Amino acid sequence: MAGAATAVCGHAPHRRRGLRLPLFYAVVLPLLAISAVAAIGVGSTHISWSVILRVLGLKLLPSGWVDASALPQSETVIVWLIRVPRVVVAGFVGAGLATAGVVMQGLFRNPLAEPGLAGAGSGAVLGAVIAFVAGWSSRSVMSLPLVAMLGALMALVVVYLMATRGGVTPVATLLLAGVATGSLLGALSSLLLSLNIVDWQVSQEIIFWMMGGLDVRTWTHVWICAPFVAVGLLAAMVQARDLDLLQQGEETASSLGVDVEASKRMLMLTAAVLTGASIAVAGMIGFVGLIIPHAVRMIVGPSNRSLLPASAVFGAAFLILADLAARTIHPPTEIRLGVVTALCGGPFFIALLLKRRHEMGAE
Amino acid sequence: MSPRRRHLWTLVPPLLLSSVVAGLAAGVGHYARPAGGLQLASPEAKIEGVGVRVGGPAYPREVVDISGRSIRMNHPPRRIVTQSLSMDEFVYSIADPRAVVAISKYGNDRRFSSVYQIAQKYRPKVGNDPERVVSLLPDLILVASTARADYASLVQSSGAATVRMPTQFATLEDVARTIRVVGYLTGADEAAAREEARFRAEIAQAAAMKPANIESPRILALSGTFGFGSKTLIDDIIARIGGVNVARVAGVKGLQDVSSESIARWNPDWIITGCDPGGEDALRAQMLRDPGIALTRAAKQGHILIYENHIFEANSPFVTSLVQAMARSIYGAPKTRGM
Repeated sequence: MAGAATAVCGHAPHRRRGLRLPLFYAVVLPLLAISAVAAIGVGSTHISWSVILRVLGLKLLPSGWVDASALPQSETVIVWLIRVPRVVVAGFVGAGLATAGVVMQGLFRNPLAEPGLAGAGSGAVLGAVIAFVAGWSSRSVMSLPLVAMLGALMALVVVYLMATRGGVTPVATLLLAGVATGSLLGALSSLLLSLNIVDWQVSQEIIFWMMGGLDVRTWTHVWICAPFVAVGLLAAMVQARDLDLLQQGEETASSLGVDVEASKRMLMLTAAVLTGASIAVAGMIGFVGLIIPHAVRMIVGPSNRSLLPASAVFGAAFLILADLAARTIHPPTEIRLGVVTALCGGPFFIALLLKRRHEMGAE
Repeated sequence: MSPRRRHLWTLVPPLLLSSVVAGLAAGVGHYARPAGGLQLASPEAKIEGVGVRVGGPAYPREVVDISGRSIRMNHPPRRIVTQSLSMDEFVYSIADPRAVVAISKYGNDRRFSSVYQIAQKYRPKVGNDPERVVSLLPDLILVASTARADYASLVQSSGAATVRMPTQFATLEDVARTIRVVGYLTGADEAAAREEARFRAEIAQAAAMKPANIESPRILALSGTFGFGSKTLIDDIIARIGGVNVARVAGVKGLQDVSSESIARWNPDWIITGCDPGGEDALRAQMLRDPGIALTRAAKQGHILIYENHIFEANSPFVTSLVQAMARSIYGAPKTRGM
């Protein structure tokens, strides 16, 4: 674990880091804005920029500033009810998963930790599969994300109770309990899928959902995930110092005034809320919580006070761009978003491993 | 943890709780919105059996769909979108094909669709991308009852009458009733009445093919390794043509995986299944390699009937092709349909 901790912390000189952070935001914030604008501008049907801007003006500016009379309802619906919520959800999910990844990697002091490690991801998937199989997903817009969210939180409770003895939660036990619970819940999801495979419409929906995607996302999905992600980001930022100290080891953190068990509990809850809210509205999207923290850490350094917000912003931009790629690579068919993130994340991760092996060889 | 930070933490649970409440409120608000419809003025006109109720013949027409939403249509639809293979086939068999502006991707796939050639001729948009659907300015959208609620909600926001329809039927009578409902929805009542009459006549014709003096044939219908039991359309078809569904007799309900051993024990006289176009020989050879199937009377007597999937899997008025083909094959009339 010590080696892993080194990998999480990094070694770059502090002065260079001081310059890198403003530079990072100078690049990534415009990237986020451009990707959001591009994602709203590009779709399966052509809508002129003037119409898009008028629709946005109509919805965002005070009443009466934009003349709504000449705007066709179909284009208003496409821009405001189809494209904008999709981009907003992508931003929140990207930010949520990237932040959850930072928290999990810091908490477990392991660069391979990712948001689903504590079982929350598998819990969300099982919840969603139940919603599909029971037919709730076709009856209510709310049922699928809420049941998925409930699944994530219940999985977290189970993992936490399994790993805690006498008020103490060893990280290694937490990790093992998370992996075991995740496998069990994954198996239950597969069981439900196999029992219902004859209903090809339902099984297709489940499989698509498991591959992640942001098609057909509405403002309801925004209202479901945004508060959780916002609260999760806030909670993560409040705990940034504790997370920094925990990475030095629990004894060191305790000697520096951190209530280790309480901090771990809150960090776990934060990561689970972020993961559950994200998976609940977007399905399983892999690699974002793994590669974004890595990539951002290489630029802004290991301090979680810088890393958390930077990862959130970069995660949001990354997922909006990935979603844009998913719906434009092979029109009119959309590639599932989880496939796109895996295709980006896999090679990045392999390159990272090769680089690390090269560095170790040089040492 | 310092007292200040401890104080901050106390904010987290209420914030999370309030976000849950906000999310629920958003959802409840969404569903509390009027669906643009009224209670049926003439409930006696409802069509029972398919979960959809329709009102009187005059416009504005009213319908309560399978999800219980009431929808009003002020005029006959001129731009129809169908979002399931079953509905593609219902609408094309009744309505003016020029009014159909979008169909499901399966409706345009010759492996599964009985309306593939019509779709090729009239070239509607294909797929269920909500953006494309909304941009077509539809005035009627037929969505499968199993479609995700968020999809239905999104396309409904276009202002089009969005009706959730059943797409899986357990009886031929349900198909006949749905023909009438689709006729009412599309404003093609007369065409629907003609189609229903044709449908019923062809079923009756197939049922009449069974000679009076023969024992009921024992039939097994398979889709891959899944057998069609009770409460399936094929079970009703087998009954209508005077056969016995061996899977139903064995207690199979719906579509269930059946083992080779079970098939051998049931020993059907006929086995019916479906395949992609051109795949008949390969599938027959594959089935005969299965020791359980090879032991059956159906295999020994060459009574394995393989139809193209668009015939075998039809959940629409086109199912009469399967009914007639099965009756002809089993009772010895010249085979003109199927493969």
